Amino acid sequence: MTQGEREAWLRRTITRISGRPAHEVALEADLEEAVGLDSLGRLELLAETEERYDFLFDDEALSTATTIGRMLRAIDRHMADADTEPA
Amino acid sequence: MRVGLIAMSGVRVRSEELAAMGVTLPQFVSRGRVIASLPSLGLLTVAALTPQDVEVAYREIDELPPDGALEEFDLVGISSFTARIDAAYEMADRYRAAGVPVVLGGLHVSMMPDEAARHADSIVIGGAEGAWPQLIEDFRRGEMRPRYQGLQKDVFKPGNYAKPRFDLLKGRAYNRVTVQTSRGCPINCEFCAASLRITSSFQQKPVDLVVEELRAAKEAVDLPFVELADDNSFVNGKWGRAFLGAIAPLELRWFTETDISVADDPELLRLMHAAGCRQILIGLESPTREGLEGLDPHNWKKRRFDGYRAAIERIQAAGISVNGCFVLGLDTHGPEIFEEVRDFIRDSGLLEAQLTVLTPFPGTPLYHRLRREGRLLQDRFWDRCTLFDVNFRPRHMSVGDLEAGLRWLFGEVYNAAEFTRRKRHYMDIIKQRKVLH
Repeated sequence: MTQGEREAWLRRTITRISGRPAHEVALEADLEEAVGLDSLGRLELLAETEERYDFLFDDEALSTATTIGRMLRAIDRHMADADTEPA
Repeated sequence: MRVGLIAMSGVRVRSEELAAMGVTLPQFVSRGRVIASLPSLGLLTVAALTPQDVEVAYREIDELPPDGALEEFDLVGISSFTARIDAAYEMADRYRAAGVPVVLGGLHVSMMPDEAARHADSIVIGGAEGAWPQLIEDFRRGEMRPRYQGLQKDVFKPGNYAKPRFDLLKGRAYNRVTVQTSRGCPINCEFCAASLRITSSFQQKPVDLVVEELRAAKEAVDLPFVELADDNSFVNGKWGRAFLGAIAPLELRWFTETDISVADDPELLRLMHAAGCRQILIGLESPTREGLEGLDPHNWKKRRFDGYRAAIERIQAAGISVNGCFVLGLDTHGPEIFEEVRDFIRDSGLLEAQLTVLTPFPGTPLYHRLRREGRLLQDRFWDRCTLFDVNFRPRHMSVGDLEAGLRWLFGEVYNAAEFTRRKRHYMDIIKQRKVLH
């Protein structure tokens, strides 16, 4: 899956959870301000992201992954780690 | 004619230590911000009960300059919680000194009418339904009476009910709006200072009226997270099912307060989640069975205690997080209570916990009992009715023990590591739920 596809999935999921269109939200825009994603909605988004990409956000990211950009970077880090893991 | 309705929103903790701690405790701060930013549903209802040819302006107290010029009105209505009632009286005194008649109303005024009457040309006791329309008519004739009694029943019947003026909130930055589906609560806890004090019995709003209100709120505040301003939303299962079916198409996300019995009904939980319910606040009150003795007239909560943990698990497994409410300083509580609450919160898997100190709000059975027993620390302590400041002598510990224990517990429960642990646990539940569905 390309980064573009990951971003598209995130935007669709944010739209579904928040009830507001997230297709044009800036990568570094705070999701609470941009689409009204409340703290419970953010937990749903984090959980679904972990489920889809099969990894766990670290403790710090649970608090700081508040933008699409930060979430994408966390997913990218996980993918890079997975690629370099010994078979 | 122009009527100004002034809401005294927000509550400030008096204890400097607790106020200082609040800055460093993420969960405490986030919930406090939500509560402080809720609009006054009571005054939006008053606005709706005002005849259409009268201009109504809704103002939050913090929008007004503290010592600046007063906005011009022909009549001012002010509603306040107990903790900010002195600021409300001050505002009322300023308007009256400027020759503008003032009406005071709300829960505190209803409990302390003689006190409030000293700062007002008229007061409304109870809800505004059945009182405000007559008051406006009398005011226009120059015959406003010093007191009006609102209806204690049938408030949602045609002729009495008015849909709150959510349109007055347009253009304001609220992250939540409140909609009421009922008044009162059959459990009737001794300390409760909510709507049951101004209603003669539990009253449920017809589903079609609630749906209309939710549509209006959604239109006014751009798809907000809705907070049902109820004391106990799901007392009636049949009403609950009809309500949930009717609001599901609105695609809202909402929060409400109810009791632990919702966990008995898996279908109700499923419908709640499908209709957008994402959190319920439950007054668990105490982490031990004995701690609940005498809390309500029928010991309902004590009888439910053994099922608390399983109920929390069932509710959260349905995708609805639980905010468990604990009251510190009950007559059964000794110094060991703080560790017991911390342990319960950890063991039960609650996503959130609301910790408050037992507060004898004026007019409640608790206030009258503690006063009778000579256990109130001051005669008048309204600005300390914040739910975090101690105003009475606990039975099995000192005032200092209770204050120190509360601060310790705040640190234990609201610190970033614990909050992260609870979030992680709840995310695991969400993921498990997705696997099962």
